[in-house]
Amino acid sequence: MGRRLMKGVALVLGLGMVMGTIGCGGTTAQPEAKTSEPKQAAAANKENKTDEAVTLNFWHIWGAETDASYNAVKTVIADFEKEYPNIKIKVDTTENEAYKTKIKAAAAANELPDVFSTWGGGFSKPFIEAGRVLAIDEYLEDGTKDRMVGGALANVTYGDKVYGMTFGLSCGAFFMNEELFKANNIKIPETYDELITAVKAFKAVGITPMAVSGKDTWTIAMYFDAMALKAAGNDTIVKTLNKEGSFQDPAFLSAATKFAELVSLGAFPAGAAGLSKDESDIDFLEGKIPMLFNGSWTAGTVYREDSKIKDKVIVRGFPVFGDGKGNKNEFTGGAVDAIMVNADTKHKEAAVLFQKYFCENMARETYLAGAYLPAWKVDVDETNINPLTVQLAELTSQAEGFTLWWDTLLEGNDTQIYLNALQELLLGSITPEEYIAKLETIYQK
Amino acid sequence: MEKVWGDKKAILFFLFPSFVILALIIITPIMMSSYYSLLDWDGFGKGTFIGLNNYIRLFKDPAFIKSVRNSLVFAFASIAIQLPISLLLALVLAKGVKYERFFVTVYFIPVIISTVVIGQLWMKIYHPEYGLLNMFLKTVGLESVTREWLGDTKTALIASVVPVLWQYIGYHMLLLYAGIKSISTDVFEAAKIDGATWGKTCIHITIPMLKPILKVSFTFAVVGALKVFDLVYVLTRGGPARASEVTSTLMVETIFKSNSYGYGSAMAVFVVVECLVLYLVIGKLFKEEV
Repeated sequence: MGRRLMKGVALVLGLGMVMGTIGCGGTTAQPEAKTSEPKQAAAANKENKTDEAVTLNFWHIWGAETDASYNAVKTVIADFEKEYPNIKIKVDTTENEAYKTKIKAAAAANELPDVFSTWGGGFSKPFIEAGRVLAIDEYLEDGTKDRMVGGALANVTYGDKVYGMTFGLSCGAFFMNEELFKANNIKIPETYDELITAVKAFKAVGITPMAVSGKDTWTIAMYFDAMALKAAGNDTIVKTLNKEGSFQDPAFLSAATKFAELVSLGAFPAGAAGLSKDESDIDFLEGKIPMLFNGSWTAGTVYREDSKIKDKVIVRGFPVFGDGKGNKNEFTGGAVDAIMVNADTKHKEAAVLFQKYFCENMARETYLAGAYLPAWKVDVDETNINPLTVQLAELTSQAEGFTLWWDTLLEGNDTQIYLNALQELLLGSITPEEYIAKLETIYQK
Repeated sequence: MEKVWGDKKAILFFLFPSFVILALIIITPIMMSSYYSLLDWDGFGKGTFIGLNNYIRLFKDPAFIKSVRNSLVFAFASIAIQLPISLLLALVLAKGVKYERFFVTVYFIPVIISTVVIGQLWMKIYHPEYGLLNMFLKTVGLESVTREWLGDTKTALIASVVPVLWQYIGYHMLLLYAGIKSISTDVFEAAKIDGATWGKTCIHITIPMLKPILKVSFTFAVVGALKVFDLVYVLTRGGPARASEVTSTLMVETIFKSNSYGYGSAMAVFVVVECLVLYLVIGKLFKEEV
């Protein structure tokens, strides 16, 4: 019997080898299957150009049904294909974190799709420096720019050229379960001192006050970005992260000390460091944890079907610090989610056409879905919109400015230094002073 | 058989395809990585040649040293815990127990389940609030032992080691089981006639005769442990605070999150060399003992 087993193994291995060779031969012999496209003079008019059948590859991150933008993306792409029947959109979606790896790998190998979603600021900077992304200034002069809100292109402008389009604005916001506050007779915090009081009061009745995921480190950064902003103000942060200042500024230590204070008070769930974002969200959506500071897209999450806290949540900015330089009208975030076009695409016109259509319509659809605040001037009936999104729109209408999230503003390696140090601060394994020293290392290059 | 060995064309015919595949998907990438590891390169633009600086940086990088140490913990645990269990299971099953085939299949099941599924499964087991493990500990009155297994820097590594061991026990068991089954039954019968007990037969006959397969198992266990990535990535992403970081997770982070392609390639080359060296050491150990 043993023999038979060995024989079987040998057979499988042999088969694999043969299959391998067949596969190998196949790929080399196969003619390159690309849509043949007659070369046209550069001056070809647009109508001609859009008449030919074109397939655009489009990669994005909104492929999960739990995603607040899921339906919006589907609608917009379907509408586009209806309006331009000769252009087919071939979609490929990947989960957010994995997508970041994938898009970087694709950019490195020069295998980017025609159109792709990405993030403005430091994230896409290497792509632009490597010449992978199409500059679209010439396509924006036809009045497109006027249909966007101010600052919509701020994070996709590199040098003095525009390389992408945004559709939605996101900001960090404190989502608070008002019912839990009322039930326990706790005041909704407006200042940091009140926040501490609230944290202590919740702890006293056995409720963990704030949700965070230490495994998906960007969720910790949501908190710290906002705290640093309240402590240091926009200008200092931008200057420091662009390596023109220093983390030795006492405001950063103040923010770190306050964060460590929240940790030591037990504001975050025990074991938060081992929980993924999905796991940590559940307790908030179940109405067990009263506070969650995260992106404005959480409005969509709060109203998703299985949520038990619909209509119980209100939105606030991060509580202001008595000794801080940031005020209550400064927010973290901005128009970061961007759509960019591959510089080497074979169908420039079609790709940019899709990019524009997608962004402008996504601005409306995602606003309606409660996933983003619109980065384009949209005209919609607000009565059907997610009430939290409307609240957010009101809150941010007073905004003096948006400070990009650090993990977007900083470049890859520095982002990792920041997030890894922050994770240690959350674990309490380093002191605020050591944390600042770790941040300061991004200057050593 | 001898005719075939003498026929050079036949040898070429059978070996050439696998050589091509090996060259294309193994040797070329290793060469390329070796070259990249000499560059200061972000993966996009042009890299600058910096000689061995990446390697010098490796040995000064506490995160890297920690990750190598953690990988070695995986390798050691594989040899010290996983293989003995596999061997014992293989010996017992090969002895001929009731429902032998059924058990072989059952122990092999974890090997064929996708690692991500196993990761999710163990995440539920380890979950601090509703996880099986903590629930069990509470029920038997060991509440003081309960903890956030994956979120605690003290236990994250060991908590990621266990599923990896668990998953591949069946794999090594099958290898060894097949090995035992291919030993001629004459030997066992002779031992029986001489009055050897099962234990004695195992120690003096089965295990020594199993040495070639044991060597294979050893090699796979060590090399596999040094390259482990998927389960750790799913369970902890190498965290918290690098407590369970292994070389592969650190490498992926370095290349794709920190955009340090050159430095990450140096780690990759290190892993290749590390595996090769340990492979040779294992070969040597087994040779000396025979």
